[in-house]
Amino acid sequence: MTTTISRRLVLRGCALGSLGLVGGLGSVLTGCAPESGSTGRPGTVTYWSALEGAPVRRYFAQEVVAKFAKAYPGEQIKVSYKNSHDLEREVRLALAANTAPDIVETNGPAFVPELAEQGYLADLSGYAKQLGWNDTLLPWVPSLGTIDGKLYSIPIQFETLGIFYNQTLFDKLGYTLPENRADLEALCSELANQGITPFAAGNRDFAQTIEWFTSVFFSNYAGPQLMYDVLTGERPWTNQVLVEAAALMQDYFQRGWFGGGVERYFTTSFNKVHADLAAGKAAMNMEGTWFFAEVNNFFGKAGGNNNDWGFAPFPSLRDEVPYPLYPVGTGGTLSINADSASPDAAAHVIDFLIGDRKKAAERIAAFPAEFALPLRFTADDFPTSMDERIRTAYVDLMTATGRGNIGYTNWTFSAPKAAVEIYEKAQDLVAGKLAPDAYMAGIEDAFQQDLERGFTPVVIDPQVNNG
Amino acid sequence: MGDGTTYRRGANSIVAARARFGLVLLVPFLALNVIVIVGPSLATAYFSLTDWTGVGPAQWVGLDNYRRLLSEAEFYAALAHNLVWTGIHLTVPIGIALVGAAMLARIRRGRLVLRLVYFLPYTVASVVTAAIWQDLLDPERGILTLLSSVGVTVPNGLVLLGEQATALPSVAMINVWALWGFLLVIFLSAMQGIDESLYEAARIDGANAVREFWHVTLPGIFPTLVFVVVISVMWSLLAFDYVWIITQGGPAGATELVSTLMYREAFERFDVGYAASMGLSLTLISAFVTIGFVVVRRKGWSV
Repeated sequence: MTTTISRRLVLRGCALGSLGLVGGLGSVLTGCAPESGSTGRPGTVTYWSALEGAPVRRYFAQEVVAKFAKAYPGEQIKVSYKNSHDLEREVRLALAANTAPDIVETNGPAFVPELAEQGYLADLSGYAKQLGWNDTLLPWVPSLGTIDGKLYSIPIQFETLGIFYNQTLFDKLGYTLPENRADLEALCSELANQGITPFAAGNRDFAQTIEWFTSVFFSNYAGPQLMYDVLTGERPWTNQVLVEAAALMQDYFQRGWFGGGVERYFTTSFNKVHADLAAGKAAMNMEGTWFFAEVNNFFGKAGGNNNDWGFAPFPSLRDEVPYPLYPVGTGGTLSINADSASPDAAAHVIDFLIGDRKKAAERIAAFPAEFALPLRFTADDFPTSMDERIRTAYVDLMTATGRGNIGYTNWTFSAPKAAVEIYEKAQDLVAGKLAPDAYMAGIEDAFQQDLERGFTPVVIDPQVNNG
Repeated sequence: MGDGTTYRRGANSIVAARARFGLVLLVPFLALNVIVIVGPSLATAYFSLTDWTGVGPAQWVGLDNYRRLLSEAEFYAALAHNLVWTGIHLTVPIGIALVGAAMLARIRRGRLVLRLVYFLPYTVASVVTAAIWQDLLDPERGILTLLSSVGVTVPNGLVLLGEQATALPSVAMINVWALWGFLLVIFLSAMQGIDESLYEAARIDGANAVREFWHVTLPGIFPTLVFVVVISVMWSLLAFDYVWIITQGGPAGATELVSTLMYREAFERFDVGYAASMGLSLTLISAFVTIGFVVVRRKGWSV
């Protein structure tokens, strides 16, 4: 009998290849060149971007790639688009194989220290000084990419987590937005009694998104200073306040306030979350500012309903914690490959993106999630055509973080092993399989391993006068 | 005599030349295998003895990764899920495919069409199949809701992909649905190779359909059955796609397999050395199965 190679066998082979068993490590060893690696041609800047969707890529081609070529004759951006889930893996493999692009995009500041330490990233301090980046970036931003006094990365896709709520439903039922834990719990109980799910929620499409909840519960229960101390290793993750925060999150999930029950949370897609919110089946949705890009597709005429939406910060969960408080995050960072043949041109690309506030604000107005750079915006920078709610949210966010009212998102400020432990085991926590103290003990253990490996990201100090 | 020797020498040299030519033809494929399989496999073996994070230098840690592997409850839980997955795949799809093929072998009209219909799910991309089944198992608009609406009693609030107890069997059954048609075609091909006179003899002896299946069909396709069992075990150990697409190992680790755990260690926790040790352990288990298969072949089964 002859054996034929089945499609499934090939598929699984590929899957395992990507696990490093065969192909992943192989490409490192054999130096298989991924597409669009550093070309070595001065003036040509290769860039792997995680921008997703044809409209935003078209916009990027017109507004950035084409206009950059005009602004800098002899220089050009050669962009390749990658799946955002795979970008970090591909970049790491390419850096190890010396085939990475000139501009290195990572998933966030937490991933930068290791790459900088290994000598893969160029020092941007000189460019920052020469091109005046410190004057356009928010004051606390450069510190996020600074390691041993050298600037290695610029955060992009500035974001926060908050409540998207069904404004029409709130108006109709006469509810007000909660600002503290007591108000939040009263509102959730009332909504549940009315047969309305308090928060539409689900992580079917991407299990890791449970970290949105851990970020908010830890930040809004512990407060800025305690979280800063924990993230920098001054205090343990097992401290009683964080155990209480984990217990509170477990309790809310078990009550069915998020997604209508734990089992449903695990099987609900983002599309359904958004549709339920817009239809008024759920009153709120705890999500990041990236949802600004899509929210109007679900409400009003586009969504086939007459409902409207609003955005507000998540309530403070303990009396000691200020309101409003914004968990800060960045969807990625930009660095320059230390082996780039065109470092100056790469710096020009970064400068083109962050150097002009008005232009950057125009890009935010066009695509709020993708181009939300952490610059010193004022309300006047944004075009008048921009959605007032989005403009207000960004300006409020800048103001609050300027006062030190910041929380910390898991994907931006947690060290790699701790970050994975937080979102992996959070599923066990909300399912009731893991006790809050055991959950926090696991995170502490992972964090200690990160500390040993020296993989802890820079954390914004809330006490620093952020201007 | 002399002519005969010359002839044999000539014949031998032709055979030798053909063998050399054959080897030359094999060189590109051997080279490809060395590049794609042997080299990376050796690298994986090396990295499994280091603390490599995926970038930068790798520090030699000896057998630490393997010691850690043997002490991690997470690994044992994933391995146990692989065993459950294997158990399901050794019984359900093989059973359905065997019965289906036996029934299909008995009909002539429409056999080709039915074979195509059964085979069709196997040709659909796993991401598509996964998306379809995620909707079919949706707690609000899926099969259970439909059954409930026509009066079938369904446990209240049952969410098949969201419950700890039902998530793994549910994903496994989706994989079974995609796979069984392929097995059916293999079994059907094997059944068509059985000498028709054996069935005639059985019928003369008064055998009914079940006895025919048991005493003629099953022995006739036994080598194929052994092959399918072996390949099913190997596929089950390597299973990844449906779990990753549908549940990503969740809810709360209920569907975590060794392959998904390995992916997480390598590309989320950046513990590439440890992930390599996990991959190599899985390879060793697969190797045992393959060796068993080779031994079985040497025992005389032409599989």
